[in-house]
Amino acid sequence: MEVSQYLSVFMDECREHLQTLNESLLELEKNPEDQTIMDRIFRSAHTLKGASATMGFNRLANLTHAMEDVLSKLRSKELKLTAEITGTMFQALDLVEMLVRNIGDGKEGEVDTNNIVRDLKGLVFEKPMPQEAPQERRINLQLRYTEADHVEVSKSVAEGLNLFHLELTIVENCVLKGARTFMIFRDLERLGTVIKSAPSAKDLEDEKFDEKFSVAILTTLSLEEMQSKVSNFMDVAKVITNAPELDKLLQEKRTRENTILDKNKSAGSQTVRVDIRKLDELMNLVGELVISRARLEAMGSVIGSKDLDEVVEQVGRLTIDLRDSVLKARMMPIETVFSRFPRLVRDLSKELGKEIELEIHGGDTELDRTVIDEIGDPMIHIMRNSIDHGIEPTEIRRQNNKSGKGKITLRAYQEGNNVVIMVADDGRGFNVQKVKEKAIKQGLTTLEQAADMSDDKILEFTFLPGFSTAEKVTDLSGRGVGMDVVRTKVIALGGTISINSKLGEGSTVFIRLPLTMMIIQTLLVEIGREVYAIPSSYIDQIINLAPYEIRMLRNQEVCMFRGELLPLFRLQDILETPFAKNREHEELDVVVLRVADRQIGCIVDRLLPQRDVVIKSLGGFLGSIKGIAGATILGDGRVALILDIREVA
Amino acid sequence: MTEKVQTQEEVKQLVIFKLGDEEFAVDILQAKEIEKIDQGITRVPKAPIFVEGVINLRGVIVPIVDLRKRFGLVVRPVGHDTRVIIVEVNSNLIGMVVDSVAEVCRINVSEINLAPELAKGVDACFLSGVVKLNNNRLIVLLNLERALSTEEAKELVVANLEV
Repeated sequence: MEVSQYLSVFMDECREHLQTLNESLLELEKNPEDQTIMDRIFRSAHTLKGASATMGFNRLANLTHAMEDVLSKLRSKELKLTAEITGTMFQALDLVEMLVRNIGDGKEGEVDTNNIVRDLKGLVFEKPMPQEAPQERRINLQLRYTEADHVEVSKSVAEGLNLFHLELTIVENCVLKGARTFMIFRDLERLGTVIKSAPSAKDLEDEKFDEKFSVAILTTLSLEEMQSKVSNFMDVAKVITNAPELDKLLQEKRTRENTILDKNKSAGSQTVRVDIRKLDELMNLVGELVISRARLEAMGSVIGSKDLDEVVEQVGRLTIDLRDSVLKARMMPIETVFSRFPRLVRDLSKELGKEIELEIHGGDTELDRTVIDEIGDPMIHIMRNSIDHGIEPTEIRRQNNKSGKGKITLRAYQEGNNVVIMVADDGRGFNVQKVKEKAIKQGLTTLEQAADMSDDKILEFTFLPGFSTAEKVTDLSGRGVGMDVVRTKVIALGGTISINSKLGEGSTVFIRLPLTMMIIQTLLVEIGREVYAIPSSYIDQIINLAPYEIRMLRNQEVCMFRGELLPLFRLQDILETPFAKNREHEELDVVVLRVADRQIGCIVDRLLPQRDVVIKSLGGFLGSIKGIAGATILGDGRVALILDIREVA
Repeated sequence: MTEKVQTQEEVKQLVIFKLGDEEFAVDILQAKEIEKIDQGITRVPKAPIFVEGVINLRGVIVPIVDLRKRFGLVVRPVGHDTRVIIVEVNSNLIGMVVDSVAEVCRINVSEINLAPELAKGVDACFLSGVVKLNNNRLIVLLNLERALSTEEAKELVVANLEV
C-alpha cells in the first residue's frame, strides 16, 4: 500500500477528531452525566484508533487504544469521571496531537508514550495488566481481517490447522532489513501458510517498518513448536506467538462496523476534501472567463445585435456568480481557530489559579483558508496575554469590587470587505501612563510629543519589538517579544491591529483582516502609459491640488493637508515611468496614502475607477520585486501591477 | 546517419531560433509554445534590465526576457517575424523574445560538442554546447537555467554598468 497518498487525509481526519475530543471532554467536564457527549467522545477515540492502526502508526494506535479502554469503562459506568481521569485524558490528547504532528513530519518514533499509556491503564485496572494481553489485542487489531479472510481462516481451522499471530522483532542494526524479512518470510512459508502481515509484505520488503512486524500464519505445528522454530531464525531478536480466538477477530470487526454505522448517522453536513491548489486553479480559470466576457462584451457592442447582448449579459451574470462561488469554497468559518481557545483558557487559568470565563461570538464568520491557517498563532498569543496579564487573580478582583471570575470575550464579525476579530478582557487594563513613561525612557518619543498623543496612539508602542510593560517575566508572556510578532503577522496578511484599553476596566485588541487574499479592492491609477493598482486599504483620501499649492522643503515637495505638512511624491519618480504628464497638469490628482503612522501624497496622472482585482503572483522567476505586491489582469487582458505601498513609501 | 539511429542513439529535438543573424537552440522539451507579440508587455519597474516586462498568457502572468540584451547582442525592433518562445525553467514559465523561429530539428546527442570559451559573442557559461548541422550551420545550444537566472543577472547588470 502506498501510504503517503492517504497520509494527508489521515492527518486531516486526526485533527478533526482531536478537536472533537478536546471540545467534548471540556463539555463532559461540566456535564459528567451527559451520555450523548460520552458517546461522541467514544466514537472519535475509536475512529482515531482504527485509523492509526490501519496506517501502521503503532505508538498512536497503542495510545488511542489505551484511551479508548478508559472511555469504554466510563461509558459503561464502571468508572466514574474524576478530575484525575480528565487530567490524564487531556495529557493523552496533547500527546496524540504531538504524535500526529510528528507523523506529519515523518518521525513518529520520537515521542515517549509509555508513561501516559501506563497512567491510562492504571485508571482502568487496579493492578497492572499482564504484559501479553494488550499486545495480543494490538496484533489482532493490526492484522485486519476482511469478511473473505475470515471465512477462509475458519475453513482452514475447521480442517485442523492452527492460526497463530506472531510478532517478530528484528535485531537492531540489521543490515538489509528488507532482504532479511524476505528471507524470514520464505522460512515462515516452510512452516505453514502466511496469510497476512502488518505492514504488508511489500512495505516490509521496502523496509517501511521500524523493527517489529506481525504475521498471521496457518500451520500444522503447535504453538510451542512455532515459537521455538521462529526464535531460531537468523536476525530475529524476539518472537511473541499467540493463538487468537476466531470469535475475537469477528468481534473486533463487528465493533468496527458499528462505528461506521454511527459515523454515517452523525454526518451532519456533507463535505469533500479538496486540495487548495485545485481551488486556486479553478480561480484562475474563472479569472480567465471574466476577461473573455469583457472581450465578448466589447465585440457585442460593435456588432450591436440585441440577441447577442442578451447572451453576453447572461454569461456575465453567470461568471460573477461562479466567481463568488469559487471564492466561497475557499472560505472557512473562524470557528476552526476559536475552537482551540476553550481548552487554552481552561488549562492556563488552572495553572495560574485564576477563574476565567470565555465567551465566543460569531464563530461562523468566514475567512479565506490561507488567512485561517495563519491567524491561529497570533491569536493564541493575544489570548495568553489577556489571561496572564489582563485578568487579575481572584482576590485582587474582589478587592477592586469586580466579580471574582474574569471574563474574556472573543468576537468575530464581518465589516464590509474585512473581518474584525475582537479579544476583550475585563482585567486590569493597560496603564497608559506607564507605557508612555517607558516609551520616553526607551527614546521612542519625547515628552512633548507624548503629551499630545491619544491613549490609543500611545498603546501602539506596545507593538514595537522589545517593548513590554510586564514587571515580571512569566512563562507565558511578558518577555517583550510577542506583540511585535503578532503585528508583523497581521500586517503580512494585509490586516491591521489596534488596542483599546481603560485602566482597571480591561482591554480590547482589534484585528482587522481582509476577507480574502485572492481578491482585493484597488484604485487604478494611470501614470504615463502605464496602469497601476493601489490597494484601497492604504488609501486615506484623494485630494486635488493646484501646482502653486506645492512648496519645496529641503528638496522635497510638500503641501498642507489637514493643517499638517504632507510630503509629496510623483509616482513616475518612484517607478521610473516615462511619458508622465502630471508636471504639465493644472490640477493634480493626489492619492493620500497611510503607511503605519505616516502619510504621504502620491501624485498620479489620472485616476481610474476602483476595481476588485484578483491578485496574481509575478512568478518565481522575477521573485519579489521591491514595491510590487503582485499583478492582476484588467478587463482588456492587459496586465496591471499592484503596488506594495509599504515598500513604495 | 540512419545507421546511427538504428543503434538507438539518444536523439534530441531542438527548436532553432535567431537572435540577430546567429542561430541558437533550446531543447524542445523545455519549449512550451511559441507566441506572437500581439499584446502589450507591461513593464516591471526595478526588474533586471533584460526583463522586458510581463504578459498575460491565458491567465498566468509570464515574465518576458530579451536574450539579446542578456547576451549583449544587437537589439532589433519588433518585426513581422519576432516571436516569444515560452519555456519552462525550474518550473517557472518564462517568455524569450527572439528575432525569428527557424525550425525544429533532430540531432544525435553525440553530435553536441563542448562550447568554446566565447561563441558568437556569448559567454560560454550560458551555453551547453554547439552542434554543427550538415550544411555547415553552427547552432549554439543555450543553458537556460544559467541564461535565465536572475541571481547572476543582478551581478551582470552591475558589471555592465561598471564597464
